[in-house]
Formats: sequence, structure tokens, C-alpha cells
Amino acid sequence: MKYAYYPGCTIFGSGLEYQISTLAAAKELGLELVDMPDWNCCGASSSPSHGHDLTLALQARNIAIAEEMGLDILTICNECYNNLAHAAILFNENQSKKDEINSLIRDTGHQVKGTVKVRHLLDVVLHDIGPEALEKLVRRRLTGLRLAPYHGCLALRPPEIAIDSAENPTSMNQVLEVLGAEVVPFDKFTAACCGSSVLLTQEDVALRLSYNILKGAKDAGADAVVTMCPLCHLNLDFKQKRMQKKFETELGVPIIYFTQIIGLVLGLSSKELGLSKNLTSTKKVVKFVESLPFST
Amino acid sequence: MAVSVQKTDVVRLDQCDPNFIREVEEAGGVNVQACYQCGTCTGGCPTVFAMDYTPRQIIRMVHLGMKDEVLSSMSIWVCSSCYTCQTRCPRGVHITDVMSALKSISIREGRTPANPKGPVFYKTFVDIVEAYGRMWELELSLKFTNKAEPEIPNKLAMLLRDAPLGLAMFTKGKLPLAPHKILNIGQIRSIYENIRAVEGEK
Repeated sequence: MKYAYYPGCTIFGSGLEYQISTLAAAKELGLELVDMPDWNCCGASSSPSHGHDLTLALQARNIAIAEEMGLDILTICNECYNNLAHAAILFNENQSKKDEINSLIRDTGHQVKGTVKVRHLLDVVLHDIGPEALEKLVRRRLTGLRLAPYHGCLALRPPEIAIDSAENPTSMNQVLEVLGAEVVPFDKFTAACCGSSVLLTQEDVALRLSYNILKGAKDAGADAVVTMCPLCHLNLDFKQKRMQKKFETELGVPIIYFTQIIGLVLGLSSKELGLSKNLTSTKKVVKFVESLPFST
Repeated sequence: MAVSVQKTDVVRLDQCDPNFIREVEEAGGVNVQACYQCGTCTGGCPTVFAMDYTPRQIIRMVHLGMKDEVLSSMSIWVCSSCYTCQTRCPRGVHITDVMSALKSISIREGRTPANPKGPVFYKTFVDIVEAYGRMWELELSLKFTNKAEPEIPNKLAMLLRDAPLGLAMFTKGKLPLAPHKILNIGQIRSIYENIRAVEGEK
């Protein structure tokens, strides 16, 4: 299983541990992630500033690079996934729009053909590797670990790009169950918006939405919230202390990437998975997992 | 252009712009005319509590051509683009895309919205991508704070407030002090140039 790997800009900063754990886990999972030469930012939610065509043109250069490699794109960020998947579908279906965008990127030396698919890593783990093959790789089952699976918005909606049900997703639940973890009741929050895109412009709104999610996880008795997007992660982890202050509630909920959880199950060390880089301490979870026996 | 608009129950048709709906469609607001005002969008919106007009109202105001009111509203900048409304809409209105279209028209026309931080954020973001081809979080947060908080005491208060978090990120190696610029930055700049040229022709 070979993919053109599009990590997204957060890997250089706030999403560092997602990159570390993705690369480490992918190796164990047998996924070959080939670096995309000189990939550019997907523009995140930038389109309002220069109109929709800027967002499409930024995707077009990346999609063309993947086409030159002859590989489908694999992303780990929901926002990058949303932008790239939207554009890939449009280019594959709408010849005139593709021509228009190809004209905008004509000076880059790249042109989109409209042949590649865009995938999210969680979808690849669940459907390309599959639960049965994943189960065979499990070296220690997470018996007794209570996890809240958080999918977020942008890999689920709108429906044309969704990797799962728009409002009742179970992809992450299925993965965590294969790993032997106990999935806590979290249906009300798993696809709820964390407000990440308005974090800087409407901080109160973002903090309120994220607080609801963390409170939901805490009330459900979760030992950690498991994420699949560096922007959700940033909001829930980085801003957690501020939420505690604003809502005068002790939270202390570890926010852990699903790649870090998979890595632990496959027998990788917490250091190999960057688990000290998460802002809210993950020590308790790591200690618990490390106390679990390896299967023979 | 500073527009002062009072929230009102009275619709002044002589102040409405009949072309507004077409403008919104052209900017990406697919199917906006199909709305039958059921309010499903408002019912599911996670950020409606902070809006001055509900999503349903915004769509209706677009129908009526209430351009100044819509473009000066808080609502379009409060939308977090979660796509819940668009997913649930029984009429296939791309409501989230309508919100993005409204933001883009507001920025293009240099409006002064109820939340001036909105346009500042988007502009800062795309400028950084044009400069490096990739996002650089440190510059984004510093430049955003500098532009979004015009008063010097507010700037300093924001920086002081964020300093401990920044330090925590830095010590974990998550706050690089230089951008990870792409090699062929000229290619990205050519995309921006070509888009500006096309926009200029319109």
C-alpha cells in the first residue's frame, strides 16, 4: 500500500507529534508514505480572502504533483483532506473548471489531469488495511482504557467528500475497538464542531464549543480524547488551560492522536510516538498502557 | 467603506440590491435561491448563539438583496464552516459555501464588518502562504495580533497572555522560529499573480 503523503503545514509546529507518530505507525502498519516533492499549503479556510479559485489552484498544484508520482494522496489533517478531496472530485468531474484552474497554475509547470483520489489516514487504516489485518498486528490490547473517539467536521461533511456518516460516524470507534479499548458513549460530540476555524477571530465561540466536547468526554469517564486532525487537536489541547480558567472547571483531559494510540498498541515506545509533545500530560495513559501485557 | 446599519424589523426595498443574490451565486453560493425557509440550518448551527442574524435569516436577506445588512453582520464571521447546515439542508442549498461567498464579497469590497478580526485573519493567512508556500504559525499569530488589536496596550496584553503557551510550545519543539518555505516559491506567487489578473479583468 503506497501513497503520496501530504502531511500539511502543522507538522512543522503544532502538529509535530502527529507527524512523528504517523511515520512511526505507518512503518509498522506496512503503509509506504512517499514524500510529495515541494508540496504547498492547502490554504485551509483561506478562500474567502481571494475567492474560491485560490483554494482550488493551491490544491491543483498538489494534486498534479501526486499525479506525476502516479499515487493517490494520503492526508492526516481534516482541513487538508476537505480541501484536497473537494478539488479532486471537482477536477475529476468538471472539465471546464479544471481547464480554468489549470490556466491559473500554468506558470508552475504542473497541470491537473483529474486522476487521483484523496484519502484520510483513518479511512486507509479502516478500509485499506482493514480490521482483521489490524487485529493481527496488535501486540497489546488496550483492555480497560476508556477512550472518547472524536472525528470532528471536515472529513465527514459535506457528504460528497465524507469518509463516514456525516453525523453518526463510527470509523474511529471501530479502530479503537479492534485495539481492545473501551469506547465511551460520545455520539453527541464525536462529530460536533470544535470551532477551530474561528479560534483566532471568535475565541469565545471556539472555547465554548471545545469546552462542551471536553466536558462531554469527562462526563463519559474517558481517560483521553482521540483525535484525527491537528486543528481539532490544537483547539482541544492547546486551549484547554484557557477553557479551564474561563469555565472554572478542572479538565485535564489528554488529547491523543489515533496514530499515537495505534503506535502504542503495536509496541512502539512513547518516545517514538512523540507522546511528551502533547500539551496536556499523557503520562497517565502511557503508564497504564505500558503496564498492559504483550500478547504472545 | 464604513457602513453603519441598524438591525431593524423593517425591510427598506428601496435600499435593497436585486443583483446581490446573483453575486452570491457567482461567488460560490450554490442553490441559494432554492431555500424555502424551513430553518433546519439554524436548528443545527453550533455557533448560532453568537450570531446577530440566524443562518435562515441571512439566506432570506440574500434573497431580498439586503446587501449592506448581510455584509455588515456578525453572523458571516461567526460561522465556523462545520458544514452541518449544508449537510442537512433539504433543498440542497450550499449554506456553508454561501457564508464563504459572503465573506469573500465583504473582503473584496473592503467592508467594515461587525467583527473586523475576520478579514484580518484571512488576509494574514493568504499573505503568509504567498510568501512561503506554507503556513508559519508563529508569524500568523504575531501578525494577526498586531493587526487585529490596533491599540498598543491591547497588543501587549494579548502577547503577554499568550506568552506562556508560546513558551510551552517552543520548549516542546512545536514553535519553529523560521518558516519552512517551499523550494519553488515562484510557482505559488505565479498562481496569486494569475488570480489577481483574472480578478482585475472582472
